Amino acid sequence: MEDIKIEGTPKTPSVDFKAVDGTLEIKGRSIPENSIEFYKPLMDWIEHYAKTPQDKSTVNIQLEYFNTSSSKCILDLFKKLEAINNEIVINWYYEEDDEDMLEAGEDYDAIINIPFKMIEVEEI
Amino acid sequence: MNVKKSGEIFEEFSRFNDDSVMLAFRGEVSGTLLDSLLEIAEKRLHHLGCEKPTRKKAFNILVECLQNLFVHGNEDILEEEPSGVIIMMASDDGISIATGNSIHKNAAEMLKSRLERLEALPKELIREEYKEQLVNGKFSNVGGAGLGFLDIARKSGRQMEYQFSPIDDERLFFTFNVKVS
Repeated sequence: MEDIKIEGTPKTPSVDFKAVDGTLEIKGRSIPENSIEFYKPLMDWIEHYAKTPQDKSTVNIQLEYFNTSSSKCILDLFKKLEAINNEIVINWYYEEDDEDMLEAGEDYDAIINIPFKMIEVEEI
Repeated sequence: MNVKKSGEIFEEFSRFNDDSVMLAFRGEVSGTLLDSLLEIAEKRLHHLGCEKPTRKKAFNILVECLQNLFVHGNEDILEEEPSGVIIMMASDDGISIATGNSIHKNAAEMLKSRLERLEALPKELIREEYKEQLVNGKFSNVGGAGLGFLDIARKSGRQMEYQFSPIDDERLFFTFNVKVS
């Protein structure tokens, strides 16, 4: 299947989904007014990938900002990932002192049945 | 010809637009304007020299407020020209973000009851309520997820105030102020 590579913009994150490597990365900021438009192709990709996933999949979420419209889409994206039966981990990055971003990761961790790893970095 | 002295105009302007005003706009919030306002606000927040977490909270809240105006600020069909207002101000102890827009009385009733419920919620339950809404909430037909005010309450520690002032029999003007410190 085809990889997804999208450059980031001031309102949407960069996306790098590689099926062969089993790595899915979303990085930057996600603050579009209507995020469904942006996230729908990513969800479709995951749905497809979940049918024949790698032995191990790594998901890196490295967001500086996201709005509430995106938060719902991110949840739906994680729900699609739950269909993967092989090993999978979600690395949730947050900037040091960014309690809000850490809490957001903890919230998803509590809802989603996939292991989360919280990773503090100096800057995103 | 009667031309006003330019100095007077600038004097009047500076009376409400001193250094504490970081951003002020009144009019229709279109998509491209929203982008520009965010860009300007981000630069000013950066130059303000406040702590990064406060800056990030303020920017996040501004995004929600502006997107509220963008989505709901233009719903009043009786209004000839949408006149949403956004004002961001800095003070010694934080950053205030205020918005205003006209709203139909029926929509105002719904918004009021939501805000009242949010106010009545014990603070420690705001996060739980957010999670609950995140899981069970559906996208509305205008793309909102019903999470905006919950998120604003959460990030500001619920330092919020709002009013509804009647315009006429059908409409009210909704003003909202949130503070990040």
